[in-house]
Amino acid sequence: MSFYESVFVNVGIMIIIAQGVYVITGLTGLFSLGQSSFVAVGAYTAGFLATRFEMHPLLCILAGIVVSILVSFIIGIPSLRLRHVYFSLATIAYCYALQAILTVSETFGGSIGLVGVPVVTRWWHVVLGVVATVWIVRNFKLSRFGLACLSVRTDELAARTYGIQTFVSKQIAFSLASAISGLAGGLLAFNLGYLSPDMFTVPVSSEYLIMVFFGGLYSQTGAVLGAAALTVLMELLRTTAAWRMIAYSTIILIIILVRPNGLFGTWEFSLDSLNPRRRAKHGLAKGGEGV
Amino acid sequence: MNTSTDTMLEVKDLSKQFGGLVAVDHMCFSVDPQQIVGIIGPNGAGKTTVFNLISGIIPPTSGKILLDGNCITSQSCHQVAMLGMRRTFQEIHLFRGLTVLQNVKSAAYRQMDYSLVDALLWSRRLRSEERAITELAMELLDRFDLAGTAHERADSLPYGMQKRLEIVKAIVSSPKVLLLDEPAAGLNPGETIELMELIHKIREEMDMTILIIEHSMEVIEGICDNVIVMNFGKKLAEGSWEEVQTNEEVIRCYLGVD
Repeated sequence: MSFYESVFVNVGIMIIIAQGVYVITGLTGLFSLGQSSFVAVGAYTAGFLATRFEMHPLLCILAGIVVSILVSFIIGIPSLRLRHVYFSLATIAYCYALQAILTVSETFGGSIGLVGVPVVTRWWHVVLGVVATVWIVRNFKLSRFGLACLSVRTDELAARTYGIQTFVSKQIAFSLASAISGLAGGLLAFNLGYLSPDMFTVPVSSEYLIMVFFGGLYSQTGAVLGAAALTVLMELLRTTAAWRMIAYSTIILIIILVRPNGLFGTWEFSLDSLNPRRRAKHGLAKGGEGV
Repeated sequence: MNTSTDTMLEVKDLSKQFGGLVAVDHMCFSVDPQQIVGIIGPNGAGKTTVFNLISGIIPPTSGKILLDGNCITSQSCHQVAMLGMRRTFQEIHLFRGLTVLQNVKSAAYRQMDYSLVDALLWSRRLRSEERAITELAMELLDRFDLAGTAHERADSLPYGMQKRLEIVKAIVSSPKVLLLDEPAAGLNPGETIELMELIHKIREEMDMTILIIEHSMEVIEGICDNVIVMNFGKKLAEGSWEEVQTNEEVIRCYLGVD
């Protein structure tokens, strides 16, 4: 795999992860600092099945998605009842807990990690994953379930008076976000060939959040482009070696200072917006669709 | 269980205590179908608490609430909503940042029935249900003169329109009982008259039972069939506006003497 392909695959995986963060944080308003643990669940499940049972990669990735959903469903039962910052704290807690489990577990390679996963992810697999994820998230967002998440984010009490079960809405969004993270994890496992617990820490989760904030928390388009831009930027800054993190952080700070709502704010790309006549007809030019 | 159809909403011996404070004290009243009932009283009389109890936002300490024969005491907010009750709040509770149309559609969440799989795969069923709901929402917005703003952000509307939008959201799923908490607060005289016409229209055309908390006696006099006066959590008087406004107790506690 060439250098460019590996960057491309990396960007794709990050876009998928950012879609998950968009669903749980952008749409539903829950600040999850534990999204990396669902990537870990997907990655380790896929990697484990591939190394131990030599299962087909596609089956491994599917299993990773299913296990991610199950784990998020169980974790969601207590933690989604928490509000605001308490939820974030709970997500930090389970992120650390999972890391501790992975570090001590012999089955998953302990602190050395899981090695020997076949490196089979190619660029078209990732393209497929990105297209499917973006399409599904867009559908979710425009459906009644997405609208319920948006209402829960803006006014939980009012949402309840319209018969929306806020806990169920959060649970659905949380599971969808985890499924997406699980998919990204599976692709990641077959891209890197090895996995270790320190790849899925809380700081990694915050990097995911930063990507989404950078693009515009309330814009799906922003999540895609934010993830792509920052991942590419990280690669470009590789030449600056030690200065890399400083340069990276400075660029993010400047953008956030200049555009507090992220690069795209609430703007969404749509085919209609390319066509001025339809745009006028639907009044799309006026209100943002996403928020 | 009460199966009679001549009472739409029945409140029996309802009490709510917050620590040592008795906010609602053995309230009893019943509302017939298609009636418009006003609840008036001084600030702190417990009017909004009664609404919060009926709509399931807080559970009562004791007592019973029946909605169209179903016991809804201590049921949670969304359960009560699913049985056909909607309410508005004193302060505006629109989904800020969402468009007017999105606001109405989210209020019609329970009108749609498609599954999560339908949603994720953008199925034909979803598209037809979404289309039907959009049509219904646009029709309602049109009837209440909000159609032109359908794609604007809800929080960018002027105050009077935001209040009207709250009512449209509350009626989009044709509830049996509608609770309006101070709908005229902050409206100018012209808007207040429009509001009264609107409430009448809702009752006539949509066959709804309406409870309304209001400080504007103009509104109470203009639209209510029956008025309940509250003071210190208790029911002070009940009857038509003519009866209530001449009640000496009511004059002393609330209306005052000219």
